[in-house]
Amino acid sequence: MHERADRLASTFVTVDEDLAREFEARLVESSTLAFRVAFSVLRQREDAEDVAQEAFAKAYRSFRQLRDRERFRAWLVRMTFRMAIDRQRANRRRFVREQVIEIARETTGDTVVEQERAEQLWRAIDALPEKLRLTIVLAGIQGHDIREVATLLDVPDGTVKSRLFLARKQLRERLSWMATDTSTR
Amino acid sequence: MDGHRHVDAMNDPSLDREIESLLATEPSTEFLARVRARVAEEPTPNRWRASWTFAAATAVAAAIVALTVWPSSEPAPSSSAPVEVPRIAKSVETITPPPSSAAPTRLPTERTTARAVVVAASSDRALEIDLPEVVVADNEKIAFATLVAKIRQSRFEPAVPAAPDLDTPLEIKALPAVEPIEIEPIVKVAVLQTEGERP
Repeated sequence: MHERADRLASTFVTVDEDLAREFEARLVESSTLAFRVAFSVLRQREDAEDVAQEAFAKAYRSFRQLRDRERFRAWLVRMTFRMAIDRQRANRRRFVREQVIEIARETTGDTVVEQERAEQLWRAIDALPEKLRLTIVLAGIQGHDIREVATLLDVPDGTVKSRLFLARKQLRERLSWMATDTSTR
Repeated sequence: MDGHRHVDAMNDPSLDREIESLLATEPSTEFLARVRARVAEEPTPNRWRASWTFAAATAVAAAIVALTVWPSSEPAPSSSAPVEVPRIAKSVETITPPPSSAAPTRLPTERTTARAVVVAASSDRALEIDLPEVVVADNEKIAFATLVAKIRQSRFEPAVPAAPDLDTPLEIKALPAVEPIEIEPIVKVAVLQTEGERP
């Protein structure tokens, strides 16, 4: 009887250890992805790290259902993006415009023209509809190809292609308008 | 102006490169350690959650099975098993019979709900069934109570009278003589007819 109980307990411990090991592997391979998704929305390193951290905590709670690697990454991306949008909305209430310029400088760190250009691009990305925004951001992170983006968003490849096409078109139009506006000033 | 030219010359690869460079930001070196610490604060999700889910599912399943199986779990009546006798347990107040000499008093109308209680001989379980309301007339109650009281006092002979013998001829007693009746004519009608007051 005791032997059986011991065996059962050791099985649980093994399962726990396996889960912990798996989660650690997912954490290492997906931490930068989660951080960058959050950063693409918030453009503030500390905020992005906080959001990514909370997303991992949530993922840990539901890790039994998220053991599959692709499923985990897709869930993490969507959750992080959603949480970052929520954080951004909360931040907007106490928004300080200078922060964006400062972060843009930190990100590119080059000439004033480039800083201005980066800021324009960020604004253009912000203005995109959420679906297009997340698609173009994921395509821009770590050189994801269309198939990888489709897997992360759980949509067909064709949907990713059309979203990327629309996103680029809207970005070009918006950047062109911004450049015209700046040059006429 | 320079920026304008830059946009005009921009094609998809150059736009993608720009976006990539914007997003090529690395988290801080402490980030992973912070996430690990944060995750360590979380309760272990797998075992207790699974056990609670399992326990809840088991309880629900047991309740469903109990409800489904309950009527069929009654022991089937067999020839050897003691027969369950339905007993009408009625909440009847003790009715004292009215004194035989006094005139019967009118009791207030009483409505009682009879309740059948089936008591299984083999177990302590009692199955209570609500039966429709039974209305008993007051005079019947009094008569019944009187009858019971008389039986208890041994003043009532419950013996059944003997049945008549079909072979003996029926004896018919002589009927009493009926005197002839004399009917007198109605005087008023005769008077009116003679006076011609008829319309």
